[in-house]
Amino acid sequence: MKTILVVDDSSTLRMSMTSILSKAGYRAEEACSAENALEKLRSGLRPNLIITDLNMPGMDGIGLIRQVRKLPGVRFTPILMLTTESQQSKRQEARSAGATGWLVKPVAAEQLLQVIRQVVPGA
Amino acid sequence: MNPLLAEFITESRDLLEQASQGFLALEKTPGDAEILNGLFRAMHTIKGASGFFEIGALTRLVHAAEDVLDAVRQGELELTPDRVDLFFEALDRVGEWVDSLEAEERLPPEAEETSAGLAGRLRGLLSETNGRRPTGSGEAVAEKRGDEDAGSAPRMSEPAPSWIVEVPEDVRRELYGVGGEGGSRAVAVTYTPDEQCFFTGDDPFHTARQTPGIRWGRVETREPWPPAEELDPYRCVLRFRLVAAASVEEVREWFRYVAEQVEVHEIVPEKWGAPVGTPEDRALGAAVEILRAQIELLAAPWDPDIRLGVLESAAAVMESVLADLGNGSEVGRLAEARVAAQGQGSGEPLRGLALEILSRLLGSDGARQGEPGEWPSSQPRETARERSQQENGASPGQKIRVLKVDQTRVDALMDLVGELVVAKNALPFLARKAEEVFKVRDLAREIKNQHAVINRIAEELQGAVMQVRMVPVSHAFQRFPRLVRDLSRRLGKRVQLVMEGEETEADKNVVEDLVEPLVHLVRNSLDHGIESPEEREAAGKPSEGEIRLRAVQLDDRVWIEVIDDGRGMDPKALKRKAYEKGILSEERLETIADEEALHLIFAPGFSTAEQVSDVSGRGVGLDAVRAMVDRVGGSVNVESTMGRGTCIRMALPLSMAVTRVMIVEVGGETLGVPIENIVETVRVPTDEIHRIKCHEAVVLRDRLVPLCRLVRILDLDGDATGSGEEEAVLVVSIDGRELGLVVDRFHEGVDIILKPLEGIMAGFRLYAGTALLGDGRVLLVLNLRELVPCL
Amino acid sequence: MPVTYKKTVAVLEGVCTVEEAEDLLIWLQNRPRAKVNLKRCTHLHAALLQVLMATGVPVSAWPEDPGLRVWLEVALSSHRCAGQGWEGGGQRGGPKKRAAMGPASGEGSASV
Repeated sequence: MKTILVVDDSSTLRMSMTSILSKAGYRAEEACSAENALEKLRSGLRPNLIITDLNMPGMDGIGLIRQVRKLPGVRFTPILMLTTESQQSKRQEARSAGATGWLVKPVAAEQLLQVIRQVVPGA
Repeated sequence: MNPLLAEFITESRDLLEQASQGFLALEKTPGDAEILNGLFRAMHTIKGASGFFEIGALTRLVHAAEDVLDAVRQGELELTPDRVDLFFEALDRVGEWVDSLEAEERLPPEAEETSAGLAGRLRGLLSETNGRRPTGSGEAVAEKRGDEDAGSAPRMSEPAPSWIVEVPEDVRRELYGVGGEGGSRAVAVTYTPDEQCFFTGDDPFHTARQTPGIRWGRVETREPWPPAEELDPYRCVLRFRLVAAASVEEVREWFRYVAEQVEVHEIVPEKWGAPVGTPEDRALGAAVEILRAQIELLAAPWDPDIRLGVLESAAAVMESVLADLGNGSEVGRLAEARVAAQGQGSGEPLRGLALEILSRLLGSDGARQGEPGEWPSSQPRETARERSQQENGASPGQKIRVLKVDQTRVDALMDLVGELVVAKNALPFLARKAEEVFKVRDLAREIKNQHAVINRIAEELQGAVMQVRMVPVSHAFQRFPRLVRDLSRRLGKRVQLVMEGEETEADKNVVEDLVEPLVHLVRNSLDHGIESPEEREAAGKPSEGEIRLRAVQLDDRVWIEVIDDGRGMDPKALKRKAYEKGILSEERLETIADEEALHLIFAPGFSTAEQVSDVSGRGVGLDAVRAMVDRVGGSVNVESTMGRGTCIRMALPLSMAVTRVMIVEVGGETLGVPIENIVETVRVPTDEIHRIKCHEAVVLRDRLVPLCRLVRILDLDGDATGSGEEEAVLVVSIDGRELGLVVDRFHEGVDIILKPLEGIMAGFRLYAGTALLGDGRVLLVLNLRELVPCL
Repeated sequence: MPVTYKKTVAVLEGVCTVEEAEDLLIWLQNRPRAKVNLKRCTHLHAALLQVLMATGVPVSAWPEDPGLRVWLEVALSSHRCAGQGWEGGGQRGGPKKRAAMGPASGEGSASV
């Protein structure tokens, strides 16, 4: 089963993502912050995809991407970033940090899965 | 309720609270970047999460707040107290809407209007910035279309120019909507002005900017710029590319004087825009977006230390896209590009391939129809990424340290514990029966022993579950900084709020029920207690008053105190007022002690203010306080010194789930009396009962204690005159007054779960509620405070 | 006076015409550290735009006119970024990169 790590400080968003993902047959792992996500990755979590929010307390999504891209074992993992319309300017920064792409919130389930299906094969 | 909505409600409440605290903190340390970021994030998160539900009014209001906070964060707008008021108003409305979502799973009908008004006022603040913020997006408005039928160009006649892959997604989304019934109409224009055009009076930039229906455009140079010294400013080397929501005809008409310099393509935004239509279309849309994103990623200026990660993640994603599109022929080329990219340490080889694939996807309409040779399908093959992920293995189980549990589950557990406690109480009855009816003393002793064991376990279990329900009183306190701020501003008073012991814990229900009485008390202190700054200075006090909220745990009670350093209360004035209002009889007016008189403020219909203010209302506040404190089985006490201030203390049970009562028998009925009120049980010889007028009283340890014959008051059958040799008297204390209840018999104390009276019984205020006893009988529990007026 | 030359800043205001192009170019050629202030500029002639693009002069204040600003931010920022590669090889003056991967659904779209 393909694993997707969802990183977001909003529990509503994590819950919705997890629900969408598990219905679609993915295993969803949640992390409530970038630090939490790194902790999980360092302790052996190997997701097939990471979906992270941009704006989080502590380390933000861009910081997380930058760290993941340097982390042996997970640095090849595609990372999608969740942004909103108002955060367009951040995307360049995210790109420079190595983001695979982004999703604009709110994400409709079908659209999310469509994108994931492209990025995570064989699921 | 949809669990997602429930989660949203919980989360939003937390975030609103955080935001509220953030604004208050900002008033102390204006411009604090961290607080501002936190505030922005709170709004942002609510907005994001709200998008999952059909609550546009809420989303839009929060969005407006977010935008204005962003301006504040950028230093473009200052947060004045007036502006903070506006934010608070918005937070309040959102809070109400969240309540409404919880109650009815929808917003109140007036939300749309409220939202529009408030959002408008918030956004109005943006115009007060230094003007650097654009207020709207996309200045261009779709031009009026010409005749629909007049020679419309064949759609998809030409492949769209490759550069349209650069058009931002938001523009495409916007374009997607402009089509109407005739389908989307948009054109891609390349405008290459003549080199000498400046000399003929042309301004190509102006021409380009004014293109009908323009949605997006960019300008670029046709040749590399020479050094500045060699630049000929009057030789035009610019090229304009633009996308407009207009027909080919309209655009050609616009450019008619430079027709030979312009290429116009009709484009179908759906094809390269929002994924709509059939699933295949959507899959294509997603693929396009992802490829586009990889193209940008590969060209981005990333740091060398993430190079490997970027290249590999992009290559893996491209491979996945190709596999999903059933296009395996490119995979070989991808492998080559990947090796080349690694070798050069550059994204260029991969990017080139991605661009190629992308323009093929967009440019060739036949591609998706699976034309032979164009996109031969092949099986996805194992990729380096998949290999790398296989070796990574699965993730180990994660340890969970904190559990978030729905309150109803804890409540269910608590109910079960309550039932266990009650069931356990059946054992002493059983023991007695064993001894008295069946005459098996050994068995009776055995049962008693077992009862002791079960009793201990039940108590521990009860304690453990209670512990789960304990929350810090800060939950109740947290709204007060805001309340005090708002009210003191409105009243023109200066007040400092000090909170102590917020970490003190009490049962969740107690803490929740605490909020309302506290609001009344704090409002009362602000309104009537704290003087105006002038008055305070005249009295030699600091102009800023102080209200202290304090929580202390004492045994199984939590004391919540509201202390102000205001003008204090005058017992004589209180007495007089109470007498004038008919609350106090003339007789009581003479005898009532000062301390007791202070408690008159809790009497219904009492108000000490000379004028009714809009802050503490019409004097309905404080009797409501006592009603609520009574309901949770607490007590309230007042101390006040004229000119120095007032302290109101509520003593509340740490937990209200289980109450201990003493069972008494009166006129054949069994009644429960809350143990917390009981001072002592005594037997009084009948001849020691004094009769004063029509009242009876007894002197106990030099105190005169009025007696109350429950038989008479409760209208039960039995001896209401006291003809026996002695009377069983239960001495109770109610708000500092002692009272002797004459009963027939005392029984043991038991733990009960008090259930409030329902239905027609709810009118009987003499009873606090009922409880089920271990032997199945129903016990009525007295509401002692209601007995006092009956004397 | 649509173009005012201060010590190191050229201030463009209102509609700036083709006649200004040569003066601006010469002024900029002599002041390698100069900047342009476009705050109150509502339009500038293509010739001026060309001068700004070619010299890569930094912008100290962007136009308040949102329509103009959109064009200029793309045309003039990318110039400074040229060589960083974000805009892509051979595509100078590329658009502001705002493409997103997943188009957002409309407000309030149901997800679960």
